[in-house]
Amino acid sequence: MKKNSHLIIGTLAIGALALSSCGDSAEAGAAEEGFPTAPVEMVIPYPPGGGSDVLFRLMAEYAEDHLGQNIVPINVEGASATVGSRQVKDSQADGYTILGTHQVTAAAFHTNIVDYGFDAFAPIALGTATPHLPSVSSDFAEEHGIEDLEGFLDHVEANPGEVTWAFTTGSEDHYTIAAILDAAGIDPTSLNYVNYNGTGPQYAALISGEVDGMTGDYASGEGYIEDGSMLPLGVVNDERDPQLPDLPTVSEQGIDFTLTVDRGFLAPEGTPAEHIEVLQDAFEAAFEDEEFQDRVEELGSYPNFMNSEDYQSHIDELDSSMEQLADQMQEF
Amino acid sequence: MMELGLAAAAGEVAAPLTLLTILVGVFVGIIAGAIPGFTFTMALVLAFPFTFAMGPVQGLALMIGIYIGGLSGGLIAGILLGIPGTPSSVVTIYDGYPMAKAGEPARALGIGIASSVIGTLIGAAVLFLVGPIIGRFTLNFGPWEIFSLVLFALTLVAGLSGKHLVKGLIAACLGLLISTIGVAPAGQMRFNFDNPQLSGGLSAIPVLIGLFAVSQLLVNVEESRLDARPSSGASAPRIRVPYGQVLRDMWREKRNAVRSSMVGTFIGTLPAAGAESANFISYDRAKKAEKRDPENYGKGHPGGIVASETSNNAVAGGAFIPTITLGIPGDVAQAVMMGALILHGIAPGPGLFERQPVLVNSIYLSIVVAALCVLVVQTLLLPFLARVTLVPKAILVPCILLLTAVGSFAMNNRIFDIWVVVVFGIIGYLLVKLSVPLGPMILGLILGATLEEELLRALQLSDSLSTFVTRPISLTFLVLAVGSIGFSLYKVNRARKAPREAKASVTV
Repeated sequence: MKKNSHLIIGTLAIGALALSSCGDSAEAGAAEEGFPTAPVEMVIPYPPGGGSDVLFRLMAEYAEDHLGQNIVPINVEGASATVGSRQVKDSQADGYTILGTHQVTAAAFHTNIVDYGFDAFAPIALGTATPHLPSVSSDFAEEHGIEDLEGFLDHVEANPGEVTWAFTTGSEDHYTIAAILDAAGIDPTSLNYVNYNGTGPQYAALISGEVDGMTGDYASGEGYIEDGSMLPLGVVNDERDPQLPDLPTVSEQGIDFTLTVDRGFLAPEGTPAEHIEVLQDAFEAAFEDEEFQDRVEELGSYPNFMNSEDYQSHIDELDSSMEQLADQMQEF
Repeated sequence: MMELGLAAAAGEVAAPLTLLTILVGVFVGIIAGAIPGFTFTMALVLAFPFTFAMGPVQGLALMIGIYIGGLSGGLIAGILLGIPGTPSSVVTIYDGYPMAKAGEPARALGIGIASSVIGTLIGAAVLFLVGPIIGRFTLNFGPWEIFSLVLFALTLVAGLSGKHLVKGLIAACLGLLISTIGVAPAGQMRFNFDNPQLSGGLSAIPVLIGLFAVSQLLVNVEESRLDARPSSGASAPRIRVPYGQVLRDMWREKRNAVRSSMVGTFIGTLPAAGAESANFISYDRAKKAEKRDPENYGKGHPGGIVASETSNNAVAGGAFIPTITLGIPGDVAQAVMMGALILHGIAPGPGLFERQPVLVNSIYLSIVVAALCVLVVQTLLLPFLARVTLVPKAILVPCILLLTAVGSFAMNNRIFDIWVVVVFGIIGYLLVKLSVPLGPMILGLILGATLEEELLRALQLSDSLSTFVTRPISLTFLVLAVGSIGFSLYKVNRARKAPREAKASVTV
């Protein structure tokens, strides 16, 4: 009998606990201003340790202080960042699942890897800008007397299909080099593209002489530029890079194209506007922090905050210009 | 300059807080490595935010502790339960599990622990002494060389198949086939059957856990039904550690230990070669080099444990070589550590050695300290771990099933991966019943993607297939591959001619 009464008390206690937790979630649903009442999951569609991963984690770290809830980064890698983006797209549109991404979302769509692009998401905020550095190996440059972007482009035009270029299919570096060639009036398919998974293996291929060129950035390429094994051809940005003051931008070299890798945050389409605003404000507050700005710059990127609305028009612009090159990005 | 860096690094690593950090890291790593389904890579990612607040040396020390501990921890579940925690401990179970089953779990664990410490130290010594030279040399490994190496590794299927060569080949092909699911290297979608969850392919870990853990547990359940007696019956396992015996085993396998460590270190150096295949190659080499009793490999031979555990730990020293000398991380664990460096404003790259001598030297020292921590922690844990074999199956099996499910989910945070575990658990059980060896299937799965990517890359770089035979290193591996197939055919033929003996066979 005594045993039984214990059992009953125990059952009641568990029941009460269950009820009270139900009450919590019901309350959360009713009171909109309560968002967020639980940690926000941030999907990073890349493996841990890469440039994107480090930047997104840093942004989450600083934004969660202002959000009042933890932002939990989760790596869901694979298939040109689309395994992660699909997971967020298909998750509940309540603001508790967000995606950290960049132009790859559009590039994967325009190269037909997936059938959805930015339009399947509601933008939250844009965070950082990272300029691309199209570069060639120093050995290749010496052999053909290439000193700058113009020399490189002339060489490609004169020798179509001979220059090998490391890239990742359906990724934003693919788009950048295609767009530069296009802006110079050269067929983007004149390069011999060689596929690598991410920038690490690309650098290995470049310094071993396996490929002639690749599209890197300062943070990951600093070591190779300093040690003289890699020659950057130009900065793909409006301004020169303060870390490489002698390197002209590509537009200074007559190529009318600028594109930075723009890392920002998306929520599934249909997420309540109030929730998006709460998240947007948390990221905005993080970007006002000077210590945070310094850390971003140490990583070779720039703070480039845009709110939800500006980010949307930024995306629209990108989408229409990428669409024009979509055909040439598919034949190789 | 280098001595100066070493002394300063010793000062930093020997600081009590850093030593404690390494010890904590090793402990966490061993736990993560020991639980089937969890990996030390996950532990590294979880520890990543903690390094924000630490100095670079201390942050790296934590990561290295987890890394070394995790590489070693995989042997525990492998030996005691026949469940490899990671692809790199698959062949540990070939001899570790039979030895534990035969009543000597403590001896098997002892050999495993000693081997992983020796492997780590030899890997670290190679890294320290000739790291930069090897780093430069590995740049000669283009897609042609890696393709040929992987092809060679695949021919080891024969050695892993025991008496069932054809079934082993079928298993390897199944593994290769599974590796083609998802996005192809050139961007096209394959075999996803319009299921978006399949578009990223099947990760190796849930498949591995399903094939080995779930099928093994199903077999356990079956055995305990057939055998109603409590497992602590007549042949109670000896859980007291036979230290002298372990030392004798290690001394007998000294050549094996050194050779396997070298193989592990070298394969660890090659970015993208799949360091998981190092233990398969070492095991095959050890078996072929064994003169006295090669037929005991797969039945609880100490040499099998030594080959697998020295090589999979030596991979650590090797994997650091491209990271430190070239700034190229060879695997995800290395990438996470590099991420921690970048966050501290230290750009890895060819100049890291000159710019940060103290940091680089502290990496070497941290590895050595971590190896010693592994020795101490695991030796202390050993008597308790060995008792796991006394736990009744009725309690053990559900607990491990739960852990594997949680671990596989945590890998990618997808419920889908738990279904992968379940489905491959059933497939694995059926394959075991049909005496199809599972090792070749995992080998096919982990190497398939690399094989295909490297082939595509090689053909994108030059249309000609002849490049594979005109590059000397590539040619060497191709010759080895042909030789390996020839050797297997010769052995099969000889076995067929010999009078058929008792059909006792070991398939794990």
